Amino acid sequence: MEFRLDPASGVPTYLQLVQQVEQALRLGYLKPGDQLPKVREVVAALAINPNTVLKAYRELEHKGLAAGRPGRGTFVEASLGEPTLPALTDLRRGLKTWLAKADAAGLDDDGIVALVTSTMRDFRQRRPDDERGRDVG
Amino acid sequence: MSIIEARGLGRRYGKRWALEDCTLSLPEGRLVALIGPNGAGKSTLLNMIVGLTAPTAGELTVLDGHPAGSPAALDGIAFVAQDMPLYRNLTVADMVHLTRNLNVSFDTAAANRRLADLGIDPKQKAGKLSGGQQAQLALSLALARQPRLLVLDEPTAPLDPLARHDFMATVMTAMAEDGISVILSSHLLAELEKVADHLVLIADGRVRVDGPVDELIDAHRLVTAPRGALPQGCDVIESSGSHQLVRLAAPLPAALPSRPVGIEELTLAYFRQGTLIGAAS
Amino acid sequence: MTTLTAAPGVGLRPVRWSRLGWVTWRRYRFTLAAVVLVLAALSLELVLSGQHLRSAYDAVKACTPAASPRCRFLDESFHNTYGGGGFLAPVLLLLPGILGAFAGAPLVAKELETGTFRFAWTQGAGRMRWAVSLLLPAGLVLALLLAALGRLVAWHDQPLADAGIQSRLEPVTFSTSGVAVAAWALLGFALGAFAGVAWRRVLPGVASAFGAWFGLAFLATRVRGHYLAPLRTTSMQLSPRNLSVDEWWTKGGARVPSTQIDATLRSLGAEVSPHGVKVHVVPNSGSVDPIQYLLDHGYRQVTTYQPASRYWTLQWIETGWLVGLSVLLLGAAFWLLRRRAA
Repeated sequence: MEFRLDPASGVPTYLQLVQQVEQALRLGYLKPGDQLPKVREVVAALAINPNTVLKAYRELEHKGLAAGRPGRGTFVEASLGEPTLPALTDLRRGLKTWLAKADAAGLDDDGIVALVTSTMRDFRQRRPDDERGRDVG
Repeated sequence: MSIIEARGLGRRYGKRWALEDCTLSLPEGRLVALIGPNGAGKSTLLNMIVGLTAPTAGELTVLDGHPAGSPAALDGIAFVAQDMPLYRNLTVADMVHLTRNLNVSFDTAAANRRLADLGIDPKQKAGKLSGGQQAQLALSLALARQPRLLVLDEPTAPLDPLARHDFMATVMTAMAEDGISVILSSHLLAELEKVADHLVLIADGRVRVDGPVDELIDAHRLVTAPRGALPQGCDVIESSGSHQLVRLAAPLPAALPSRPVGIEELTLAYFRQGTLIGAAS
Repeated sequence: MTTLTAAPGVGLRPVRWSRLGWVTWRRYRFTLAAVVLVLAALSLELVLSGQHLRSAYDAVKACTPAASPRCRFLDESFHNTYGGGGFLAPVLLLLPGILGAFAGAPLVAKELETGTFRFAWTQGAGRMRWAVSLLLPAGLVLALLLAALGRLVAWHDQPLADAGIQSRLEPVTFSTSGVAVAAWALLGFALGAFAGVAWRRVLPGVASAFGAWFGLAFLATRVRGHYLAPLRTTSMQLSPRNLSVDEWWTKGGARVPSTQIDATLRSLGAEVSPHGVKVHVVPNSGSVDPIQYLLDHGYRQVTTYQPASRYWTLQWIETGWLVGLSVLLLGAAFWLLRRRAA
């Protein structure tokens, strides 16, 4: 995988790296056993401090998502238990249908987001998180 | 492990103290960003570290306790000065050979390899290279000396964004591969967050800020409240009616709305504070 | 080629002089070529001119009988043509100072002026080694080149010395021949180096160095005659081979002020001017030759001089103080360099 940096996002660099790894895990682009990009490669491509990359990888280790093997690199240890790619494609299709309905009902983007957010809150409150360490939002 | 130790360091020119009472302990293997307004003492500090100027007060030791400017210090520190001074009439190959002859340790093969990768013609005169190429040449020569510490004085100022990116990528790669320490003097505050581990801010001849970037960011917040509403022990760096940029001594009460402060905002506030102090004195 | 060596600080060896020498050579080989070219052109001119001089002098020597009007005319025209010194004389006189100042000052001043010292002085070799490897070879080469030129000048002026037209002790020849010429070049160089470090700028460095050199060269012409106690004579005819230092009149062993002499001469009808005394002698007219009058009345003209035979002694004395001064200046330049702040 290749990292990208958004300097205007306000999110600290190391956190952006962590989030991109988590995103890749979620979408299935990274699987347990895959090697994360070498520090040297990330640094050469993005012109960021190697200590920042090390910090991101340490954070991933701390979350149990990766582990460093001395002399070999950093490797993915666990997945985020997200659904597989076909399941996601399915969900995406269903979502498109729903969005068409919401659009027809006259909801604009902000209205859709507000509806989703409040419904998600209700959903979570009635069904508490099931130990999968998933981040909300 | 500290790469630079300064205690009460000062430098006087005539009656004026360009740098005063400077006490620093800069960590090894990190990139230390040295920032401050022009004429505030940054260049003076850099010149003392690389041995071009001698202190008039205090002491300065580099690497493993060697005095700045001593043969061991000169050998372990590579300096790329502002405007990348090179001998303009010599060819690139001559510059490589010349630098090798002025140093005990020099990896000629690595220097030539790096220059070839960058597409720099060894037969080209150094003065005829583009700004970006000159910067890369100066950097390649410095890195080929296998220094423990690389000191860069506003090296990317004359470069376009792409050249700047390539330059910093080279520096960062050297940090990753060889574990060198870097001291970088720069005005490009927006890019500091990407590259700096440690920040030293000098304004009006004195060190105003000195610490790891993470700690500094954690220690400052922009509070949306009048000055009077602040708890005791808060050091107000900048005040503007409804907003106070403070340095925390203790966690803020939860009721007080605040947000974190980025490096650029933080440093600008200290710049302005330094200017005010300077104007008052 | 070269690969990694020991970590710094562990048995740190200094940078080898041969390496530093290469740096100096590489940076200044074209400048050296230019200087050699200039000197070669000068040398060519000297050789051609010297050959003309020699053949003319040979013609004079070969002319017999020596007292005949024809031979005396030849002799006089030789004196007139070659006695003046020619256009080369001022060039050669100033050359050691010009070359020295132009060589010495920019070596350090150019680095300071262009900012390349920020590169050169932060290399592993350090600024002192760098300066030594730059100044010593340059100064030495300059001195040697000018010593060679001085040899050529001495060869060129030989017939003039033999004919008694020019003294080897005169400034034109003395400071441009023998060992003194190399020492004068060295002084110019040392002044240049010191001025370069002091001013940090090339132009003021060169200008002040040459100015100081010129002043010292002028001073030397005044002082040269006194390196050794001058000899004394009352003879009215001093060989042009010798260098006259001073002359005055005495009467009865006591010195007579020149104003009195001038008054006496004027009363006898002579014209006294700063250029000398013009005496109109009309034979058998009853008028008196003023000089003869002075001599008849017990006045004696005393001349102090340095004999031509003292040439080499005087050369070595002059070289001595020039080299001493140069060493002092170079030492001062190095001391100033060590203290120089960015």
